[in-house]
Order: sequence, then C-alpha cells, then structure tokens
Amino acid sequence: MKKEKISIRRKEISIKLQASQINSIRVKNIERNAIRVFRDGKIGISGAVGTSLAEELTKQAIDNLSSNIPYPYALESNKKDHRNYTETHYSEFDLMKLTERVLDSLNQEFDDFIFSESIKTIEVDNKFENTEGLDLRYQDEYIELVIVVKAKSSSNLFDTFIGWEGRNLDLDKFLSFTKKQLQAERNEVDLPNEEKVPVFFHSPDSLGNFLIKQLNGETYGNKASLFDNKIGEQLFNKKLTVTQNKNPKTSYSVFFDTEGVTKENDSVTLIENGVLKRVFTDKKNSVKFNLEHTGSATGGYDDVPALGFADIQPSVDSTDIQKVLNGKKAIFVMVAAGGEFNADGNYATPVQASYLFDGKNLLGKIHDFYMSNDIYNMLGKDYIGTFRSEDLYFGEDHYIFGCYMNIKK
Amino acid sequence: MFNYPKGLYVDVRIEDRFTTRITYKNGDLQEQKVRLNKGAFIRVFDGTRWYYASLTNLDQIQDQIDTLASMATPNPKIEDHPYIKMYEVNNEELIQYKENSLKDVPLDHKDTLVKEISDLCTDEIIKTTNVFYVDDVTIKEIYTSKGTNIKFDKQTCGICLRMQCAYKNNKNEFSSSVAKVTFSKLKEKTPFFKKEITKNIEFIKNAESFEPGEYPVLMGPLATGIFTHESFGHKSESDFMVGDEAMKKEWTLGKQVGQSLLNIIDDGTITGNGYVPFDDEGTKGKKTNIITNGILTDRLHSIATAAALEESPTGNARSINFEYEPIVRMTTTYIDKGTTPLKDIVKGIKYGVFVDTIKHGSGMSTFTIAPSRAYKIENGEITTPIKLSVITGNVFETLQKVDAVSEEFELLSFVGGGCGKMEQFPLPVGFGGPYTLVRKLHVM
Repeated sequence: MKKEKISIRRKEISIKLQASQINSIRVKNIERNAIRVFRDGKIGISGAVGTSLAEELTKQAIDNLSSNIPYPYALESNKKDHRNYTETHYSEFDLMKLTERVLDSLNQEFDDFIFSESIKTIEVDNKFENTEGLDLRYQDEYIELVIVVKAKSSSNLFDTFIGWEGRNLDLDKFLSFTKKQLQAERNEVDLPNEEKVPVFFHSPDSLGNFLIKQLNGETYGNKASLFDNKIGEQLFNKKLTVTQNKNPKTSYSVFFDTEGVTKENDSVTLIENGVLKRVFTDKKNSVKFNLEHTGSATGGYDDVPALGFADIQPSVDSTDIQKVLNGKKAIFVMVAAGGEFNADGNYATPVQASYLFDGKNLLGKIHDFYMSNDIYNMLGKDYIGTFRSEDLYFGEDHYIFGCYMNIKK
Repeated sequence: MFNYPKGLYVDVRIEDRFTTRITYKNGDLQEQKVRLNKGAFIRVFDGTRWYYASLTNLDQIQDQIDTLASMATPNPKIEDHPYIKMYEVNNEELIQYKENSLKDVPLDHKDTLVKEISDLCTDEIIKTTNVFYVDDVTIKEIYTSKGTNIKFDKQTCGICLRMQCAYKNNKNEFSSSVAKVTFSKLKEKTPFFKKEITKNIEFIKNAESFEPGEYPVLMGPLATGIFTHESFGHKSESDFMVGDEAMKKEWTLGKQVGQSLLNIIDDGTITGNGYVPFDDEGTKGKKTNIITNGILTDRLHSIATAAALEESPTGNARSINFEYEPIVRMTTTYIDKGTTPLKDIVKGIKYGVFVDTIKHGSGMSTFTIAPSRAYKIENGEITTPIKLSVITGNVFETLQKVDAVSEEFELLSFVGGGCGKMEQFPLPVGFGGPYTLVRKLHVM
C-alpha cells in the first residue's frame, strides 16, 4: 500500500510585552504527525498532535479508507530535497536580552507611547516522505517582532505598530528606523488635499486576498471568478507581474505543497506583464478543468489536500519611490483594517494608521480616512510599482506595493 | 495532584478534545476526520513575570512545572500578591454531556446531515459549494497551587455552507452557518439552509450597484452582533487599560457612552459558542452588564486586569486552545432587545440600507462591516438587493446614533470562523441581538 508521512514540528519562544514591560515568556514545542494511505483510488488519513506511533496512525488511516474519499492521482516520487534556511539561533536567554534592549531603547526616548504585544522566534521542521521515494524537508528559524504602539494620550486601542520579520535582525538599523517612525507618529499632519493620491502599502492584504480568490483554479474553472475566461488577456498594467512564491528564503514558508509538489525556482508566474497567464491549481482541479498544474494544494497537516490559499505576491519591478513620486507627497498605509472588495471588484476601506511619505521618509501621522478604487485600476492605470523596502526596515524581504487611490476624509 | 514549588503561583490547564470534521465540496465527500487530542498549558508566576509552557505529553507536566519554576524567582510573599489574592478557589466537577455527547452520535448520521445540506445546492446559479460539519467536545481540568480543582465539559456542533454564485455579470460568495449544543437541535436547521440558498439566489439575480454615501443603516441580528462585538466589545476587554491612565480616564465607569435605549451584555453562562462555566484561569463564568441604559457600567476582566484596575473578575480569561495563555476575551456579547416592533422601525425609514448578512467585521477607532446580503430601504419597505463593499463609522459617534432597537431578538452561534485577537484566532464566541437602526453610517 502506498503511504505518505507528514511531520511538522514548530517551536516558538515568545516574549510578551504589556504596558511597555516584559510580562511573560512562553515556550511552545508542538509536533504534529499524519499518515496518508492510498488504495484503489481512495485516500485515508490519520493525524495527531504530539509524538505518535507511526503504526497506530497507519492503522487509523487504513480505517479511514472506509470513508471512500477519492484520490485517483499519482503521488510525487523519487526526489530528495532537504533544505535548512536557519542562519541564526536564538535561545530563550538571547531573545530576552534582545527584547530588553529594544524596550530599554524605546522607553528611554519614547515614554509618551505604550508598547505591547510580542517578540518571538519561530523554529520549524517540516518533513514530507512517501513510499515512492519522495523525501522533502524544510527547516528554518526566524524572528517576528510585532509591537503594538499606543500614544499615552490617545483613546484608541492602538495607534500604529512596529513590525519586523527575518532571520538576521540588524538591531541598530531596526532601532534607528523605528525611532524615525515613532517621530513621525508624534507629528500629526493633514491628509493631502487631493482626491487621488499615490498610496504605498505596508501589506496589501485585502488586495492579495481578493486576487487569491479570483485566481483560484476551482473558482476559475467553475466560472465564478471575476477573471472568467480571461487567461491570455492583458488585464493589468504592463509592469505588473504576480507569482506564486514558495521560495522559503523570501516567503518564510515551506517550498512544497500539501501533495509534495515542488516547482522550478519555487515559483510560478500567474500574471506576467499584466497578462493573466494561468490560475493556481492542485492535482484535482488541474485534471477536472484541464488547467496547468501549479502545485498549489493547501490544507492542514492531516487534511485531504485541497485548493485554498496561495502564497502570491507582486514581483519587484521598480527601484526608487522618490524618483517615481518626483516631489509629490504620498501616503504610506500601515493599517487599513476591515476593507473589502465587492462582487464587481470595487474596493473600499477605512485607513486607521498611515503616514505622509516622500518616498524615503515617513513625514508625519495622518488621521483616519477612507480610500477606494477598482481592482482593474489599482493593478492597471493607477498601478505605480512594487519596490524592495530599502529605507523602511520592516523585514529582510519586505516589499512595498504602490498605486493611486481615491481618498476621502 | 502536582508538587507546586514554594514561593510561586502555578496553574495547570489540561484539555482533552474530541473533534469531527466532514466536508462536502461541490457535492462530493472531501474529508471525514475524527481526532482525539490532549494537551496542557502551564503557568508559573513569581509576582513579577509569568512563565508559560504548552505540551502534549501529559506525563511531562511535573517536569515542565519544575523547569518553569527554575526560570522564576521564588517570592516568599507570593500569596499576598493582588493577583493571587483574587484567584477564586473552586472545587467542582461539571460534566453535563454524558448522555447527549456528540462523541456518541454515529459518524454516518453526521455525514448524512452534511450531505443533505450539500444536496440542496442544485440551482445552476450556484457555481461552487463547500459544506462542512464540525463538532468539538472538550473536557477541561484546571488545577492551581491555590487549591482549585475543577473538571468540566462543553460541546458544540455546527454546519457551515459556503457557496459561490454567478448570474450574468453578478458574482458573489455567501456563507451561512449555525452551531448548536446537541446534534438533535442541529438536525432541525435544514429549513434554515434552504431559506438561505433561496435568498442568495434571489440576491445574485437582482443585485444592483449603489451610490456610496451616508445613509441610515438597519442591521439584522447577525450584523448587530458583529457591530456590537467589533465596535464596542473589544473596547470592553480591559487588558488595553492596564498601565494606561488616559484610557482609564476615557473609560470611567458611569460615563454616558450611548443612547439611553442601549444595553450591552456579555454573558459566559449562555450555552453555545461563548459558554464558559469556568474561564481558563478557573474563575466562574458570569453575566456582565457592560452598558446599561447607555451608561458604561462594567467591563471584561481576567484576574490580572481586575486586580490592576481594582475591579471584580468577570470570568473572561480565555485562550483558543492549550497552546496559548488566557487573555481577556468576550463570551456571548449582545445588545439587549428593545420594545419597538421591527415593522415600525422599517416603516420610519424613507431611504436607507438594510444589512442582512455579513462577510466579516473589524473594529478599532473605526469599525467596519463587510455586508454579504444588503438591501435598499425605500419609503418604509425593504426592496432591492445592493452590492456594497463596506459599511463603516466611528465607534464613539455610532453608539450615540443608535436610534432604535427592535423587540425581535436572536442569539447566534457559528462554526467556520471566530474572534481574533492578535495571535489567538479563532475563538468561538456568541453573537446576536435585535434589529438595530443607526441614524447615519458611511456606506461604500
């Protein structure tokens, strides 16, 4: 009987901040294991949190075959690829010292703010093996800093946040940039007096989530996508390229999908120079709708592989925001929570945390406002570019997405 | 049960979870899994800092207590610490679902129910469906060095129906979900899903664009529930006030924060998603009147926040599972019902918006609701379906603009989502309330 074994170990050390002080330290070390068995075109799965006996899981997975869940697809085979992206290891002691340095520095110069939330290290070890000779392993360790910032005089739950993600934190550079951000936070400025303004996003989450829904092969195949029947068409700005990025170096996620599929350079182009080239698929939807297979199956460690989320991101296509702005002032959005695209692709959102931006520096805090635009404009005539985050130190592989948006107080 | 090190406060929470998930995608069985998982979360407090660990090997609890204790600094006066003085000592076993346990419902009965709902989706306008059943039976044990020794169970089961529809140029996705405490109650909900499918099809066939602007907005019980949770509920979680003098001043009890018809309640004793017989620190669940007649009367607490603000604990320290520490969270939060019949509220609206169902909501200084099904109200009648992105407003201003709450009232529990607070998502919570009219909101 063909069999697959999935093992995920995640160790986290998390230091929690409350009221600008260290409140707690938490250590998590959780292992999850699953066994999949395949017989007569069916799949059976069993999984458990904690260390489990493979024999016991296998027996349960065989029992699960009676559910008659079809899986008539060939398994990945004959490939060994072990990768370890760990560069720096932080012990509990190291992380505590790092947190103390960050807090001491911020509290000393910015005692008009309250800092909370967490600084954590995440260590992952994911294995995917099967009886057909597939043997994949991804190991990594990185830091996540998420510090919620609130002015002591403010009546908001929070006013902005400080964030960083990466493997090698340059603490001096981080503190230097963070201090510039907090100085801007102290300096309230007016919203630019124009209806349409260049806007740069710390994380264009709503846009990404909307694109993921529309580029999902199952949605596309069932003719429910906004881009129905448009593969091969020039839909967006010629500068725009969007890829499925499974390169752990920049995505901090595993390089294979939940069917064990890997792709050349860990990347698949979905939109190239504004042309919709393909949508993302797993084995099932690729076969069902005769779409190119992109290795995009997702799901939990003990789920039947399915199509859901995908790591998509725009490719960096521009280099100098200041030059693009040519003296014009822009808005840098840190938090725009609660926004949504409607069925026609019209996007509207309140903006809760943002700064006036000259392309290099955050100049001052802008009070809450609203912004809106249409998906085809945001990625079309109003698209400015995707830039490597050089001056704004939010992480080692952070990018900044820019487009014109309609703004309103 | 455990050897607690001297000079430290220790608590241990053990969770034993039985879960089922059955999924039908586009009419075909996609997944059928039953899982049994156990884990524990341990906290050690030395009067200055907390030391936490989560583990899955329950044989190692004592070792882990000792390891955490070695990181802490023993405090001979730990028992005098305000937190420790405030911890309740409860000794109780509250196992309520021996007879009606979801564990005992045969898997094929659960499967038949999901398939029955999935099979309702026959209209050609429905392009994709994802229907899933989930249940969760959790037995929790909490032991503390102060003497608490409790064991209790809770359970929910529910079905979520997600569908993508397309008709001419209109495309939309819809989600309908319901959760109950027993399987027999859940089985009664098939007509609800039938009605939802009909409404979704009618919506997609007739939905029109709508001119953005400021309009009166009438929210149904679901939208009211999300509005309450996002606009005010999170601000009632008092952890954000600790060490923040401005917020303490801003949120002084006794302050008028809304119209006098507004009563907002959080109640951990209501069965359903927000049921908390004991919270994850071992404090008994309670009903908390947050706003009474528009006046701020209470807020939600863990032991640490109650002690810091010199108020009483409310049983709101919750975590999403054994991997996380308890933090201040809501349970079942709602606006209490009013006295005006819904038909009279609708009659009084000349031109506005009715929000029936929602995709999601969020709230900070500004809250947003992303409607799924929304309709025009014209001359006192709910009329045409409309396509909206978001409805949004300032929290403080909006509470002052609540002009009517209906006598019709509904509390709701769901599966397939929950409340998120920083890293802890999703936490099951209860929602609901009456139909609520807000004089003016931004409709986009």
